[in-house]
Amino acid sequence: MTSPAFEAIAVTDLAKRYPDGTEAVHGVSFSVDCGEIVGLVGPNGAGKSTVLNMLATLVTSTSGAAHVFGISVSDRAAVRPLLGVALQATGLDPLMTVRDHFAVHAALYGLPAKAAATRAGELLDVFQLGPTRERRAGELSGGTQRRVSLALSLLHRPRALVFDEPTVGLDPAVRRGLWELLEDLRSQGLAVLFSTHYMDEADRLCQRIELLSGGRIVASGTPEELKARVATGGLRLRIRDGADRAEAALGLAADHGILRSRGIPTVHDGVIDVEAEPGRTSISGLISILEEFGIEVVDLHWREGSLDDVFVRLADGTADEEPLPSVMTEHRVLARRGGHRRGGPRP
Amino acid sequence: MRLTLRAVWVLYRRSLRELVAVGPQTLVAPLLVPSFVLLAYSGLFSEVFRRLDLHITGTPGFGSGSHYVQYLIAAPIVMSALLATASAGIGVAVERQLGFYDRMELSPLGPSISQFGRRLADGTRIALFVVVLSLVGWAAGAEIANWPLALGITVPMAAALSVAWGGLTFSLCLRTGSAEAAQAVTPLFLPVLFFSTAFVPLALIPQLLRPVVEYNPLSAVCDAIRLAYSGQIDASALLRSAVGIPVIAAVTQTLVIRAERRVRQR
Repeated sequence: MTSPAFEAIAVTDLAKRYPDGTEAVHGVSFSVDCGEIVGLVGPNGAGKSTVLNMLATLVTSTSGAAHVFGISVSDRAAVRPLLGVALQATGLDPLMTVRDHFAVHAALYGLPAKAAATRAGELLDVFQLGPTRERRAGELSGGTQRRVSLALSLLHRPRALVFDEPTVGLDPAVRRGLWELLEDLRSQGLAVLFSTHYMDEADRLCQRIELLSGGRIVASGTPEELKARVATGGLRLRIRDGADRAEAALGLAADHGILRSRGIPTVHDGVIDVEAEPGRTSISGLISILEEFGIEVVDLHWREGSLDDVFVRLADGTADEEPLPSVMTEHRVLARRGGHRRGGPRP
Repeated sequence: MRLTLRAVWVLYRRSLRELVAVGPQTLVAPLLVPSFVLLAYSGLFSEVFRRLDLHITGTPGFGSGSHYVQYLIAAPIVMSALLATASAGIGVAVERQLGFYDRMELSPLGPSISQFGRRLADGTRIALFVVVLSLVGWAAGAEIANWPLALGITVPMAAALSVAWGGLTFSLCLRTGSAEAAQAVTPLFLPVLFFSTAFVPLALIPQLLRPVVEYNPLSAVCDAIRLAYSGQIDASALLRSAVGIPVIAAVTQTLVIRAERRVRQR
């Protein structure tokens, strides 16, 4: 097993300009260590697949460098056995059976027939593909085809995995099964790089996330760091009455610098949602102002930040550059306040 | 090397199984069209040549009491070998669309091995076509003096020609990823075949065109096949074929390599 600290994939200033002049990737740099799962996330057309295809040796880069275990990807013959790749297209021949696919894949990777058969049997079990062994790929559902594709990518025991949206089309149970498998492979020391649109998946699996937008990495870090950076989540207040005065009260709080909100607060069905910044909001001050407006707060808590917010904010470039305090774990700061009401100005 | 051969063997079997799975429609163009040409042209022109009372020494079908089908028999076989090349192009275009080409590209052996396996399968298919067309020619009146000699020379030569010429269709379909490209490029062989000795001997071709016909590699292939069906071995034609077919292969393989590079730069 490789040392967990060993750098498996290293990408430096990688760029790709297509023959039609499209600049798909501009100077992307990142690395993936052994025993690490790194997620490439970003909107459609961000350049994720291009980066993965360059790493997988399918597409040549215009400039920059990419290395797999210290070997340049330009040395295709040396790099390819080290990588297990599953692309967006499953790449299965609809007329071939699942068993034939394993046989062809084993032959292409030069695996001895007996060892390949044993390994194929293991993978068919892991991916629950045993009953489909003799069926043609064209007869399988999209999710099953994807499972076959992922199983094939592991047949030759690669040391690093490059997956392009591996869980698209999988049902929740199979998706969770794949997560467990990836975590298992990571624990065995494999390096895993994958792209995804599912932020819950990236949050659950990735040690680090590289967020691409417009062919550039716009943010990089652990899921927690990214969520902290954009101060995702917010403040949710449940009020008993006085909803009609809430906007004015929140406006006053903002004017006094008590509430630092990124968006416009919403008041709906007795609930106020404020995209507040945890480190810049005075909870006690906010409650005081609300009470001065005769608004009784019965419940208040921080809503946990999500990577969806990170994706939306950073991918369109609206995030602050300055890192913000990390106060992400949902915690209740006020369970229930007494129903006393202070007199005060009413708008 | 052993593992590479095994990969070629596995991919070859895969292509054969695919041909069976696709069904008989893959036989229509490369078998029915040449059969029609053989039957229609021999019926049409044998009477013309008989009335003209043409005698060309050493040329099957143009001797005393000889039937034109004896001369013509090489043409539909070569035509079949060239028509069959469409499937190699269509195959790689479909592989690109499915992502199967990328799957092979990702492997240490690369997609060229798959191409080789596929084109070997096409060669095997051509062996079947040669046998069927020989039987059609025999039924139409051709005298096949020595079956083993005829098939022994014709099958490998037609297969080699198909593999060599197939690179043209293959490269275009690989480059474009479109199966329609095969339909566009496959008929290109027709003028090359017409400017050869496939249908009439060199002696009957206008003086102006003779250098073109003489140096056309398809002329050598047709001559060698034709004489083999008459029980003779034409060493000169075999030698010219042995040079001509690799030259065609070198040109088309260069196009394939360029297409592969182009695909990587996509």
